[in-house]
Amino acid sequence: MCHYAELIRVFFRMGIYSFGPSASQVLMAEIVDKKRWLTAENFAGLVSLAALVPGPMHVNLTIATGYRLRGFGGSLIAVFSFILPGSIIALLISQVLRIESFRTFLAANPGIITGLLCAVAGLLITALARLTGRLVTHQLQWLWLASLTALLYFVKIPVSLIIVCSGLLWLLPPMRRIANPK
Amino acid sequence: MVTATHATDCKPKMNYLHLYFTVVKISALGVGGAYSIWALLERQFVTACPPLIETAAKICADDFKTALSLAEIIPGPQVNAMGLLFVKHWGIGGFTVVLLALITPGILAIPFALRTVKSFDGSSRWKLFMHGAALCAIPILAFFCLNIVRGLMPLKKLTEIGVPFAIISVFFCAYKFHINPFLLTLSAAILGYFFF
Repeated sequence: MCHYAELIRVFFRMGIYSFGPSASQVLMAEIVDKKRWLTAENFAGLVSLAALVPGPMHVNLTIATGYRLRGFGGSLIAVFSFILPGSIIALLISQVLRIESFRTFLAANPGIITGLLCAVAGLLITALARLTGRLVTHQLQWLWLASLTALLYFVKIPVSLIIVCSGLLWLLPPMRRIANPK
Repeated sequence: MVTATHATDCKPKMNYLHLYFTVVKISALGVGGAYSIWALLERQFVTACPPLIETAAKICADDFKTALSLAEIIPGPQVNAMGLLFVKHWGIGGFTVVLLALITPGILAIPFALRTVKSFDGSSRWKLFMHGAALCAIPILAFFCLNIVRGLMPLKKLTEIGVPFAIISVFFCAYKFHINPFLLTLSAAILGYFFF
């Protein structure tokens, strides 16, 4: 069992070290391999749960880990400690973005933002490829996903409606046959 | 006659409470990771630049692009970069409200889910429903990706032909070689500065 102070220290440090999708690896290395607070199997279960529950995945993973370690108080402490370093840096960046000379520099060099957006687009396609590999198990699912993408792109249909309808659709007997949730 | 005034000259119409519940709703619908939430935030808040006074609660598309592009180089989860979007109009209070709103669904749902996960494990209907709901992350991500690529694609200069090449290279490095996204993003920014 870990103390609250240690929980703060560990999650704050991980909040500094982790960038983007690497957060789950950083969390696993610290919680499972170094501190041995959870087994790899337990941690994998928490990762699946974090991906399934709505909200940002790494925030969910931190909440779940904190909850497993020290209950509800632990989940709050873990998530706030994890977010805090990045929040301070984000607020500092927001102040830098207000500086006129910096904004002029960014406006004069649009290639920086274009380069960053290329990286974001590439990482998005990576996330899309990994998610598709994990979730799509039947050719008919491709048809369903293409229709949903077209609906989102061309019609301003509410996302909540799509999520609920998609969930309910997979409860229908013909769809059960082609679904193979991993 | 109403004259067009830029949003920076006026206060946002949406108050903190309204902002909180709007972002909670977005976070609660954001299945499939942080990029799904970015897509929903874009759908809810982003407008063309410069926004007029009638749409003062909206975020300028350029500010959105800047925050999104910084998301991979700010340490910690992407919620910090999402909060950055709201600093301009709502200040540090708005930033805090958005962060709290983004973590609220997780704080409420995860303890509940961890307590009841054993009963869910046995339910095939629950698994099927969640499978169908989780599949929605793919069209949401695809839609968002299409929007970004569409924004990058009008290749006006000869040097911008490198854009599709850069996207494919980042994808290849991240997918095949698992190179750190922070390094990829930083390299793309440096290369963009010199070549785009």
